[in-house]
Amino acid sequence: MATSNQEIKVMPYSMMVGQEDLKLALELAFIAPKIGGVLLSGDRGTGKSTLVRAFGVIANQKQPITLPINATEDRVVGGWDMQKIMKDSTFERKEGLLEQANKSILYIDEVNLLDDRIVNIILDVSSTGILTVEQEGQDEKNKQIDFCLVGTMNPSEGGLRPQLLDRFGLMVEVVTEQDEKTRSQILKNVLLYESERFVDSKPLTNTAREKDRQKASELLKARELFKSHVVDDKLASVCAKVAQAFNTEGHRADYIMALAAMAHASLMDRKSPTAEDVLRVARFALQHRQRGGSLTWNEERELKVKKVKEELNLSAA
Amino acid sequence: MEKMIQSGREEDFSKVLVVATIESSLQGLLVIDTTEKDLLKFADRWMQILAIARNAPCRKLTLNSATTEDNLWGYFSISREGEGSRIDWKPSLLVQHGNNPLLVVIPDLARLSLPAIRACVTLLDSECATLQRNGIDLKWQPRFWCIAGCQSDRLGEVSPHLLDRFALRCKSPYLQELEKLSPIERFQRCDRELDPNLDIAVELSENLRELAARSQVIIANGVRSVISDEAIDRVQAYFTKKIPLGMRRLLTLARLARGLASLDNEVSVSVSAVDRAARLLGISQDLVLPTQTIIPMVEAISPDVSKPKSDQKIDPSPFSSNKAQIVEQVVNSDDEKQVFSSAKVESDLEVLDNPYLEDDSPAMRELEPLKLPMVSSRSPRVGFGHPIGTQPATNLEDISLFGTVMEAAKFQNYRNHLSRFNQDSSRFRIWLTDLRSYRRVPMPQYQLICAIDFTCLQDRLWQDALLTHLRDWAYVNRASIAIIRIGAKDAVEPLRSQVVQARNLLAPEVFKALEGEAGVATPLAHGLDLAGRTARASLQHGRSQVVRVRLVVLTDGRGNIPLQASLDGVLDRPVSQDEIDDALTAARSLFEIPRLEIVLLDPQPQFYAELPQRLADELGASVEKVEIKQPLVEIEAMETLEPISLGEGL
Repeated sequence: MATSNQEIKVMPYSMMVGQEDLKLALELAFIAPKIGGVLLSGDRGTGKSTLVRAFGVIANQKQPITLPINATEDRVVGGWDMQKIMKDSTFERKEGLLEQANKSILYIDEVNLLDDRIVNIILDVSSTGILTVEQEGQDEKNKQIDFCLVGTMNPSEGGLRPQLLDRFGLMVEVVTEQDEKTRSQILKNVLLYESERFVDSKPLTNTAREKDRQKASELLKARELFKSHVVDDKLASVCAKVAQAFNTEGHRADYIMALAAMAHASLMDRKSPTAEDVLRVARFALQHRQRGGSLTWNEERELKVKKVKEELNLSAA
Repeated sequence: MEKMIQSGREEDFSKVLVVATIESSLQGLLVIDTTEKDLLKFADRWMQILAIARNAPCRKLTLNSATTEDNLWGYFSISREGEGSRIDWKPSLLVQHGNNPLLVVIPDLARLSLPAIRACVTLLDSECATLQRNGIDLKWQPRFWCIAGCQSDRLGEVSPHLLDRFALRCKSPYLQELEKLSPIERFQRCDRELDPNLDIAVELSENLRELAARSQVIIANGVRSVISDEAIDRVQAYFTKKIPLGMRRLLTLARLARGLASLDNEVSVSVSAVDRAARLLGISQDLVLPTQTIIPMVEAISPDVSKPKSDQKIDPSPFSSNKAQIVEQVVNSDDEKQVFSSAKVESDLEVLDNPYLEDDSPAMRELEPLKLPMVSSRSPRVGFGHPIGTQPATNLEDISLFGTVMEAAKFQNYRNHLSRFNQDSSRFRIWLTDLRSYRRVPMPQYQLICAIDFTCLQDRLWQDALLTHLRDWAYVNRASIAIIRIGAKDAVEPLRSQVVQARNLLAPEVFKALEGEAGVATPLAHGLDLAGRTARASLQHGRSQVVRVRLVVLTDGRGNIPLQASLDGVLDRPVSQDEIDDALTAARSLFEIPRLEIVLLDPQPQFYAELPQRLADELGASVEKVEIKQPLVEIEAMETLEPISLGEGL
């Protein structure tokens, strides 16, 4: 039965096998909230949605606020509580999803199928960080909203507008795991988790939940360490060099890359980020900001990153 | 014997239903090539199984081409309360069905409405669902099952994303029976099935009742068979040749195997359970099997049968067609590896069918099938299709009275409370913000009519000439299509032309209509007359939203049937010049239709080469030449030439 605050158990994050880039991007966005969000684009049936929900649980102790593709505007920006109006004749404002997601994750499954009107609202709020609602007798002004936007999509069902693409700090192209051992482990874990769902004894799930708690504390520690990092000249120069090699539009790619590199260094428990950190996260920051609108990452682009790496090594030598 | 096969096929099918009931992750079942009545029978059977296994009456929700967001999620309804009335939120079954199991029935997946498609993509195989509409905020775990039907030749019209959500695939167990019927018998059967008094409810067999009861125990205990490493390797082995996108197909096979093993009270899922599951699904793409040792599936799935019988050839799976009569033998654990590994080296082996037909089906759908189709328009007559909901009105056009009243009804208590000191406090108050207008399905605003004379196409590259109009004009503008078939060999009435209409270029009937050979007569005048009628009906009649029509006429102008003879269906005089004049007269009448653009494709006939231009003049059409095929003989001649040495020339 549907209720408004039903907590639904999802598979533990630690039981998820493979998709390392996807996990890393989500963790970086948690450590450095200024990154703004993550777009996960790729094959169906790769566990994108499950992974995001599981990550939400370890990051915020609850599942992410989910914006469904058929949401109406009143539920996105907030509106009157209809049940109260109808039953008690009292007008009480009900928070919208953007407000509910403040300081946590706003998750949009099939983000490319979202109505344009809703997309425009999200763009406005995520770019300014301010929500203003002046409609249907509501007067909510300059409410500070800060959320991490996570979207999943299947590119075969259509793309995203460039403005919305740019709001996602990082992008990961999710592909089906090809390694046989990884696939076996995925099968095993999913089936074991399902088998334990209906019985009292849950040894594997409980162990995984314990690992999740450890992971959560590691992430919090990394988040604290991140606060001590600063973008020094060296890091800025490496980021600029990579962005220049890709001829990206604007400067957001450089900025996000620097943030992500610092977050990566924090995750690795390093005091300061290195060029290696930048190169590890470069793809996530650049993939959706290429000139010409291409979202694919091919050999040629990988070679470009390697070339920058060689140049950096040479100059260091 | 045939009855035994039939009942075996049904038993397999029912077994899939039972396992899906146990394994709640196996939510979606797609039945391919079934009739609507048969699908309802399967749904009824599944509901009975669900009711026994889940120990509560099963509810049913049908989704079709008319399903709206309100049908799917819920709506505000008015109910009587004492002297007055009150308004309440009424959730749909999909959102709230209590502890009762729910079965969603989709009679034709290819004709499902867009909101329903999006709902299926969002809910099927998802552990979490959210509803955020019109002030309602709900979150729940979707626990329902879904059975859908689709014809195999229409799978290309369905979004692969939606198809992927239907983990289980089966062909109708009655398919072979249906295939044996003559067209008349089939028609009679369909006619009988349309009888609303015909009862579809069939009591479950004793065997099936027992399986359902066993599944009830499994669900209550919560204990499932444990999947072994060998079983997982076997699952992987079925997909080694072509690794599918995502893990769903592998998980489906593993879950089905686990369900079968649980039903048989096996502690762990064995390799043979995976093989049984694969056979039920019809997955044998990579596991190539020998044909020598064959036993019927009916026996193969019973645990006590293990001896192969070599003299029988019986259709093994509910998926395989009657053409592929191959069955894997039941193997004991020692033989398994041998059969399995030898499968890849033996050459005289056959494979079973592929249940994932969409992998090879040509895409016959919109580029972005999960979004509302784009409408490009330069006209104010936009979007007046049938209503699919309401939206806040921005002007006073197309106001939905009911939608407005329903919106106002929500606030009546409060408004009456505000005006309680007025004498007329009981009046129903509608404020400006209550106004709601209709949301409507976009309708095609363009139409392409192709009048094709099949008697002039020989050795002409006419498809290339036509493609420009089909792709660059009709597809880009999402135009509706009408094909006028003139002089086709397969015409039911050779003296008449025939019109085939389709909602857009992607409809399969368009391509069928474009295929044809030259017939014995050329009723050109009738074809042009039909084109004129079609264009007028689209531009001038009823609630049609068409604002522009393009007519492409492909003919050499040599009509040989008078218009009157086509209309009467009788030809009572020999062919003369009059027939060509008739066609020119019909063409002249087309010239007068406003907003009709005409293009004549000239096949460059050898005789009467001036006729196409004359016809174009009467039509007021622009002329495009159709290229003539180069004779193959010349190419052959070229190939037989001796190679020339470059040195000789120099």
